[in-house]
Amino acid sequence: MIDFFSQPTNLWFVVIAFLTLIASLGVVAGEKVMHLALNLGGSFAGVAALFVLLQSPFLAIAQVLIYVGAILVMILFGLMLTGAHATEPTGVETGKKVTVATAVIVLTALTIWGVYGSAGRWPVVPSGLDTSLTALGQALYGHWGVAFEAASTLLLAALVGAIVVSRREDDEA
Amino acid sequence: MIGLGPYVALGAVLFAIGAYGALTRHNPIAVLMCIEMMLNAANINFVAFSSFGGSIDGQIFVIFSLVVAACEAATGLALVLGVYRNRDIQEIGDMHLLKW
Repeated sequence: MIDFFSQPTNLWFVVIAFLTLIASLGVVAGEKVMHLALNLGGSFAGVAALFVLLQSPFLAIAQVLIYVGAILVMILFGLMLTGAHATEPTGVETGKKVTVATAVIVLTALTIWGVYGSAGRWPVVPSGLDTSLTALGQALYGHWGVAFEAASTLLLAALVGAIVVSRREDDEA
Repeated sequence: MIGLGPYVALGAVLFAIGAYGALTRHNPIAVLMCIEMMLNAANINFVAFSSFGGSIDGQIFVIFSLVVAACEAATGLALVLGVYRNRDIQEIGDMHLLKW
């Protein structure tokens, strides 16, 4: 155990994983919807920190910019427009919650059992992959060029659709 | 050095937390938040497999996943706002017009 924590990467992983899980549990267990959104920001930031640990600094920056910077702000705007003081009812539907929790815990336990049952055959050392911006850009615009264009079309269609859906009816002229 | 296992396990736990929230929350926007968390858990797995497996494709998939998450948040919030404005519904259980 001492051996495990003597390596800084392991220590950082445990700390970041703990904080991420605490924030994620806050999203699920909190009462005020505004607090849930702030916990969600912590969860997003924790995942970004994990990306740094996995030697993917560009994805970490993209995670912070897009999730914390754009999606979380959009969610906060949505909350403010639909009632920021909304609270989640507590102590209702206990039977449903127990059922869902049991199913989810069993599935997770099976997954983790599968992961560690085959752990001996899985790589333990990072492959030293070149994750520089150059390599990422060449893969994105070279091999994945068509998919990139499709993704940009999807984003455009989704944003136009969002505007059409949220426009007031009486604006039509 | 920790291996691939802890990252995949963390992804599984994060996904489970998100799934539980998405199935039990009452506020539509809270459900959207939990779905974003599940997408994040998948992203952890993509990056971990890419980093340990030696292929950059996993990182590219995370970028596409970010695009889809942004689309989902934009359209989802527009739908929630539309329903809230036209029907004054705040609980996801009240949206049962199409329920059989």
